Formats: sequence, structure tokens, C-alpha cells
Amino acid sequence: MKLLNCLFVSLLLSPIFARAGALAVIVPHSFKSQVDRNALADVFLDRRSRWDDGTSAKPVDQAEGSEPRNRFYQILVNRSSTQMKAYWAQMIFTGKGNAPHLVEDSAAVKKYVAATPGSVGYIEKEAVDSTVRVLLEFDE
Amino acid sequence: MIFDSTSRLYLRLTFSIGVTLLALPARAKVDVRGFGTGGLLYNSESRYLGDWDSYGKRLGYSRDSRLGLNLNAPLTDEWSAKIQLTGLGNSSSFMMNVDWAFVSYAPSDSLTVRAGRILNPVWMISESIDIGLSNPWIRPPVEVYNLNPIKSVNGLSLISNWRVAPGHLLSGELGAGVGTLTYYQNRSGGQDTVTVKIREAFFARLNYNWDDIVTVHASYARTRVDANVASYASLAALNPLLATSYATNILTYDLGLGQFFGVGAKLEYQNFLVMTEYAHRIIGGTALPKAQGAYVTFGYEIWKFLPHITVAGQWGLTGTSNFHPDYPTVTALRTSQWSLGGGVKFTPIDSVDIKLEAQKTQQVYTDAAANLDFWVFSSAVDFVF
Repeated sequence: MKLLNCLFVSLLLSPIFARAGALAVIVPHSFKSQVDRNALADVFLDRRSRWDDGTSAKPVDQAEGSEPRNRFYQILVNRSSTQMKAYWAQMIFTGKGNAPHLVEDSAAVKKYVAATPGSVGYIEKEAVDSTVRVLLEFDE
Repeated sequence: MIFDSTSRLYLRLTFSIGVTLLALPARAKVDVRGFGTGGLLYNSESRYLGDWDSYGKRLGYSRDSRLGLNLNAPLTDEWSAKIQLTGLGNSSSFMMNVDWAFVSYAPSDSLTVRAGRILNPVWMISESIDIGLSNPWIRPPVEVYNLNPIKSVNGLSLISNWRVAPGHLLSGELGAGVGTLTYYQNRSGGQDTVTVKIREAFFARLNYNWDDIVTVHASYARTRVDANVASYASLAALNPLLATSYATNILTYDLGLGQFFGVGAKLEYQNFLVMTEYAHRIIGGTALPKAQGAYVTFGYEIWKFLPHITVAGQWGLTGTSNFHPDYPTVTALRTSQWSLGGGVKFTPIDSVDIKLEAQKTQQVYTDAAANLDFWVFSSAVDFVF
């Protein structure tokens, strides 16, 4: 019973004490532009649709509520998932913008980015492999 | 059925965008999304503000309720077609109307051209006034947001964005168009439907955004409108037993030039929210009184709760609100309205808000005996999908 209690308490507290891993912002190997955080934020908030070389910017998001997605926006634009939802409600329902392409998880982001010129996504750093190139790292 | 030229243009436009969107799934993805609000309200007085009269002294389904459906089809990297249908509740119906529908062309990040039924961005959140999830209140302060009745026009707009420095974004919009509005006006013996034709509408907006912490909005809009109203002749003149009247023909009245000025600001810093806006309406004709309005809202986010208070006022109301010289003279004209309200927005999940509000309102009339003090209690659930 004690063991069960300990397990239950550990499960409850694990999200609080868990050390989140770093995130990697990934692009296809063909990607040539220089990008800083401001430009990246503009792309993910649909304020910028082209990279410096003129290629169409194609951001890709992970599923709503996913841990990498929530952390990515908190680091990049200091907004919670609730604030991002309100932002996109305002953008979409006033016709001002379109939310990024949506895929399920990091594996799907990698697959999309590897196959799509001009695309950019974010995944856990440990999920990076040779199919994509790391543009930026968020280790906050 | 006979349509005027504006209606024909509007119908053609809606039809074209609808056909385009329906024809697209074979070659492009159509994104379908929606939003809605279910509102319940108790008003201790039957009068609130103009077109919000349907609230009444009762608990009931209100104009705070709405449902929207949004279809968006990117055609190419530069072109897209978008349409939004919105149904607003009132005392008798829940009709879905085309809120806006336009074709958008963005040759670069700094320029977007829209053609179709476009939103009039005259006040800070005019464009997103129906999107409950993006606003702290159930009902954006009517003291400001009721000052301009023209929500959208059929026309063209140019939007330009300038990244003046990292984190500093300047956005401007110029637009023009025509359209129609429908009003209801009481007269002795009944209520008339008044069709207001927007002969010309022009608007200009400038927004400054600093890192999504500070947003400043300034705008100017001007309109010329005509009212098409029935001319009445008394049947009593023909037969004293028939104490009623009948419409003889439709007359058009030039309601003059309307000008609208607005300036507003929003601060979202850490858990703090401050929103404030000033609006000024100058009317050359008789349709609506001249007026000024303002509000300030303070909020502080605690976990999933956003408690907030709002002070709002509308003052300087001078002139009449008649569409027709034969309508009864307004004997007790409202000169000002003041409100103090508080509420809380609770976000249990990202797609849903639950809101509760209480508001004390005072209306001041030229005839002091007509002054009113009353409470408005509101609740609402907002959602997006």
C-alpha cells in the first residue's frame, strides 16, 4: 500500500519536477536563409510568409496541448497555450491570418520538414536525426 | 425579387466565393473552423442601449449568443478566398448572415489587398467583437462599440505592415465600399423596417504593436447613408373608423455625413491586462445623435481566471435619432450613460471560456424624470472549434 501511495504521489508531482529537454527548431537541408528568433516568431504568428531568399515559409505545429508545442510558444513569444488559442481565434475569425500546418507529433514534424522546402518545425532535441537540419536550439 | 445594385454586387460576390470554395476541395484544402457563444442575461430594465433593447426585463436568451462558421481556402502562396457566416441571437430569430467574405491577394509580407465584403476596423476590436474567446468581456462596452453601426461593407481594402525595428510592428489599412443596413424604428401604430443604404464608406486605421505587450490603435471612418422609408398617409382621413395608417410609397432621405474617430490601447504584460479606448461620432444628419464614448478595463490573470473591472461612459449625445421626418419627436433624449462593471473569465480548457459579469448602468435623460439606474447580470460560454 505504501508503495502504491509513493507511486501515486510521484505521478502527481512528476510534471512539476520534470526537467524538460531542449527543443530543436528544424528545417530541411535545402534551407539557406539566416533566421533569428524575431523572424521565427513572425513566421509562426503568420506575420511573415517568406524567408529572406524569397522561399515561402511553411511553419508546422504539433498537436494542441502537446508539451513541445506549449513550451515552444512559451519560449518563443512568452505566451501560454490559452493565450495562443485566443490569438489564433482573433487572427482566423477576422480573416487576418492562418494557423500553421498541424501534425500529430515530433516524428510527423520531421517527416513534413524533410519533405517540404521552406518548412520549419520544432521537436525535442533528442528526436533530431540526419533527415533534417537544426536551425536553432531552445534550451530554456 | 428585385435587388438594387449593391445587393446584386454582394450576391454575386458571395456566390463567387461560395462556388470557389466548394470547387476547391479537389485541388486545395479548405480549412473549416467555427466559434460560438451561448449567453444568458438578466437586465433589470427594458432599456439598455438602442439596438440592444431586445434584452428586456427578464432572464433569457440574448444577443450575446452567436455562432460562426469560417471557411478558408489558400489558393496559392499569394491568393486566398475566405468566408465567414455568423448568426446573432435576438428576440425572434437566429439567422445566419455573411459576416465577411473576400478574396485576398498578398504579393509581399508588407502588402495585402482584399476585395469583397470586408470588415470596418473603426474601433480597436471592431473586427473581433463577436469572437468571445479573444475578449475579456461578455459584451465589449456598448458605450463605445454601439457608436458605429456599420460592421462591414462591400468594397476593397489595402493593408500594409512595416517591421520598423525588431519587436515593433506598424500596420495600416485603407478601405472603401458600399452596403446596406436594416433598422427597426417605432412609429404610432407599429414598427417600420428601415433600409439604410451606405452610399459611400471610407476607413483608415493605424496600429502599432510592440512585442505583443503594447498595442495602440487609431482610426478614422466616414460614411454617407440614405434611408429608404415608407411615407405614411392616415386612413382616418378616409374613414374615421380606421384609426391606422398605411404606406403610400418608399422615400429616400439623405441622412448626411457621419464621421467616426477612435483611439485605443491595450497592454498585456505578464499577468496584467489594461484596455482603454475613446470614440467620437459626428453626424451631419438626423439618423443618429452625435456622441462620444470611452472605457477602461483592468484585469489580472490568476491561473485560469481573469477577473476584470470596466468603467465606461457615453456622453455628449446631441441631435435626434429619426430616419423620417414623420416619426414621433423624441421627447426625452438620452444625454449620457455611465457603467461600472466587473466580471471573471475562466478558461477550463484552451478552446472554452466561461464568463460571469455584473454591471451597474446609469442613463441620464434631458427629462430628469426619465433617468434610469439598472443592473445587468450576464453569463456566457465561448468556444472555438
